[in-house]
Amino acid sequence: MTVTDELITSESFDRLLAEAKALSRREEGREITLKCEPAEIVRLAGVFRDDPELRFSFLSDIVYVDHYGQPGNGARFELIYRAYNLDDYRRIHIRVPVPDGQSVDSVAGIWPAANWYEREAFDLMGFRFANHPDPRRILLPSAFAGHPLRKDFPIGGEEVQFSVNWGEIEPQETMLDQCFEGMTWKEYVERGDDIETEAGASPLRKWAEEDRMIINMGPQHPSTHGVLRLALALEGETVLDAACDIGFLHTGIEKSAEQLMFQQALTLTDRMDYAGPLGDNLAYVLSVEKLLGIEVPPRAQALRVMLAELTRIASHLLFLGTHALELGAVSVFLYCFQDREQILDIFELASGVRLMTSYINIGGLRDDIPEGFSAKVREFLEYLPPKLVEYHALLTRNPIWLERTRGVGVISVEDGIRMGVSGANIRGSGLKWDVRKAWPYSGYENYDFEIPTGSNGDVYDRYLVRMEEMRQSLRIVRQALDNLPGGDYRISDYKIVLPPRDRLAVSMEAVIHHFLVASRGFDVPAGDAYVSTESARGEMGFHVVSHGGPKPWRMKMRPPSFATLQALPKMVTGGMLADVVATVGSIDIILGEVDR
Amino acid sequence: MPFDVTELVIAIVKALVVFVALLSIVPVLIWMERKVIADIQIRIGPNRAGPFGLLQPLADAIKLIFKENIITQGADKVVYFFAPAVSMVPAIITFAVVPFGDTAHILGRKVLLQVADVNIGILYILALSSLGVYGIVLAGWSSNNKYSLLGGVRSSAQMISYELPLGLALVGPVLLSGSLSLREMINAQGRAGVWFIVPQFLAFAVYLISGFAETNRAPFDLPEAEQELTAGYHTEYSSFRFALFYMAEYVNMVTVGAVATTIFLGGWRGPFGNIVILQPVWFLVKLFAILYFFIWVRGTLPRLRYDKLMKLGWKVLLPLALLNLMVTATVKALAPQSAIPIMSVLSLVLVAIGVIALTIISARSTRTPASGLREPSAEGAFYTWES
Repeated sequence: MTVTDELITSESFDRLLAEAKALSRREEGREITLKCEPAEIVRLAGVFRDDPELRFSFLSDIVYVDHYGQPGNGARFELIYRAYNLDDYRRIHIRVPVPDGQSVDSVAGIWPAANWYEREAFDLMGFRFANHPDPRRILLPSAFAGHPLRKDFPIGGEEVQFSVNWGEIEPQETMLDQCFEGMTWKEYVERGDDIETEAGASPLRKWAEEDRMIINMGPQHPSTHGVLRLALALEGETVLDAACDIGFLHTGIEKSAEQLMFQQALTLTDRMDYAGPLGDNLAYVLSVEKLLGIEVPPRAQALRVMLAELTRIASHLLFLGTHALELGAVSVFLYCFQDREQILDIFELASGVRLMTSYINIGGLRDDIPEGFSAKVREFLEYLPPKLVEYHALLTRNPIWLERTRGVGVISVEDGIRMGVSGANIRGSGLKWDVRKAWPYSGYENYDFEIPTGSNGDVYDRYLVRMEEMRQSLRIVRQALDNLPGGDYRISDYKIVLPPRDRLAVSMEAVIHHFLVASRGFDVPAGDAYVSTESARGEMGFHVVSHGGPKPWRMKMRPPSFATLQALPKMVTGGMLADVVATVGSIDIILGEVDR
Repeated sequence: MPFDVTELVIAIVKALVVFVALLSIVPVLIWMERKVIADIQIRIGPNRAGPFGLLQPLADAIKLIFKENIITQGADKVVYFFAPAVSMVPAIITFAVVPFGDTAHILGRKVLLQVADVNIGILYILALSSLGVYGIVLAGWSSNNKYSLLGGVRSSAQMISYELPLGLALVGPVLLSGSLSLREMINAQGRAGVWFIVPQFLAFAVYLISGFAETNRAPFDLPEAEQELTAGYHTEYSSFRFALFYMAEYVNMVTVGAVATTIFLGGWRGPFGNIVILQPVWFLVKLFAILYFFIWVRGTLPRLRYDKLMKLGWKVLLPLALLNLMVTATVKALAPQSAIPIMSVLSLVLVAIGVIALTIISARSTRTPASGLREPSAEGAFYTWES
């Protein structure tokens, strides 16, 4: 709900703020949108965070959009700050139109989580943030030329050397040389991890100057969950300071999505959070459906919930296994993988694919569940609980496990909120915030389940919270299965979903619909939408911007791991080297999602 | 004693036999470890090379030997070169004093089934097993790799700390048997009619736990903690030099197991023990039982943290070993003749108390007090909630 379309400037600040406050007191003001000019954003953010009536202390994300060449927008760029009040679950969207070339004041002093969000906006779209504490690139190499998410950034077209055209095409190395300002590609590679020049480690420069040992964990380290690079300053085995270096897995998913039709971009979402692909499917699909203004049938809702919860269990099992592996309990790793296989079997049964299912589609599901699906899920519901008891017996009271996890990697609720930590990680600290309860989607309000919370915010509590979440997810799956409605598994608007296969043989209209949807897609009304969901890792959502037409103009995701990772240095500083491994495991990050 | 050429030949043959046997136990042990761990982890384990995958260690060894031997830039080449040998040699020669049988009569000669019956056997073992740490420290230091260095530092601290409880744990059996010779200690166990594990259970437990640390085995495998230090001190090693470290670890494991067998489990003694040919068999059976225990623990427990490991060594194991030594010495001084029965009773009481205490503790900690979460109440049931 928009307060007013009027721009908040220094003159209209007090008046419009009073309006916004008045609105936020009412029930329909749970979600409000403001427009603010760049010069006033820090002042506005400060008021919204600190005013006792507002208390928007959690910055969920900063969305950055390039409206290049689109009529009707005064400024070329737009920033959308999305902040939450986590006491009574209110949301605010602050939209800031930014003309080309203008710098914006950094809000990192108000919401520390903005540090990485703003670095990302600078890296990928070239926003300049005044007074930013750490203005470096974050996902792309520090010597990368240009900002690829700008609409005028040249894409593709580089010819590739093959044997037929070897002599005609510039060798790749020559092309690479042009990418690094002032040095050749070889020089760039060979300077190695010189602390003075390497982007990720430069916060640790002062330690290097004091002759402390700087150690690089990753990106090829066995336990950084993919390709995270951590630079640690050590005194003996005690961690003095830490810095994350990410982007090794950056594949430009957001840029790729802009080149694809809405239903095609869905397949990219699988590839982000590869441990919980259906959760990301769901988050994306919900945003697009909100833009389209469609409501999916109850059967699809229930199945979506069931699949999302199974995904959560699969992801938590993966967490448990790798976490235990990192603490040296190798066997648990294999047990968990065996259990996870059961869930992948269920996915395979439903969609034919084990991992990148793309099963949840815009408008419902890709296909109805096959025969035997319910029986298989029921079998799993019986299968898992004894296994969980076994894991509790192996780990929960194991003295070594307790020593390794209790009081390690602690983060308080306040720090977690400041850094944008969400999901099981912040619940482990004691904040009872779960998007499924706070802003229910897909009919989660109809299910009976608890939100487990810890109290210490250490590795052990995060572990216990996830263990319990698996049980709660089983509860939800059971309820969804028991009350599975009949009816259609998707909407019947064949301008959006493909007509049934058997209709193609008998209906010309179906053929036309099929052809149109498959070849040119469907138009999505102009506007933007964001739906937050609770993925296995925390608050996950897609901010989808459309300017009409079959392709998303901009798809900005809110990856929970990205925000959580930002808090990692705070968690590990002061601990031991071995605690770093335990902590990285316990926050359950997926680098595919962090780097996209 | 006049110099006897036959004695020399016998000694060489014995040394060779033990050397070869030790080196061939290692592949068997590796195979067994992989199979047992696979079984614990619900996998199949090696089953391609040879029947039941028995040739897998051999295939691995051949693969390793044919790999390129990489020397890192900036490595201290001489030290880097010799470190694997420094780690391997003490591991092998420690075995010289371990008896694997009584006296055999071959061609009218008495042959001790032991390479050398040294009358200070235990001191010899302790001295040599401390030397092994040099190989690891030097490897870690000379690799010019920070992870290796950390691994080397960890292992030196760990092995030196655990030497103490390990050595002190062995003093108890020495007091009971009145000898430092391993052969004499086996005989003492024969005379007493009870293995020293019974009167010296505490010492046995301390010895075994310290043994895990001495051999860098899980849960004390910090020097090579894969998830923390990539591969620790041998990160930069490849080819045969890596194989040497790998083998040294297993030989060490065999040695620790063999010493435990000899001192606490009656060595080669067993039913029909007077049949000489059976004695090495009994020895091997006991040895492999202990090795199985090593593997079992590895498949079950998570790894300790460095500082906790030190705490365990200095604040728990060392006092326990001292306590055991004190009690044993007191009993031995007051009742020299009936020391073993008295100690056996004491140790049984200790075990009983331990079992009861553990039961009470585990019953008490059903609730994890630090957090709002509770343990599962019944099989598969969702547990009750307190918010």
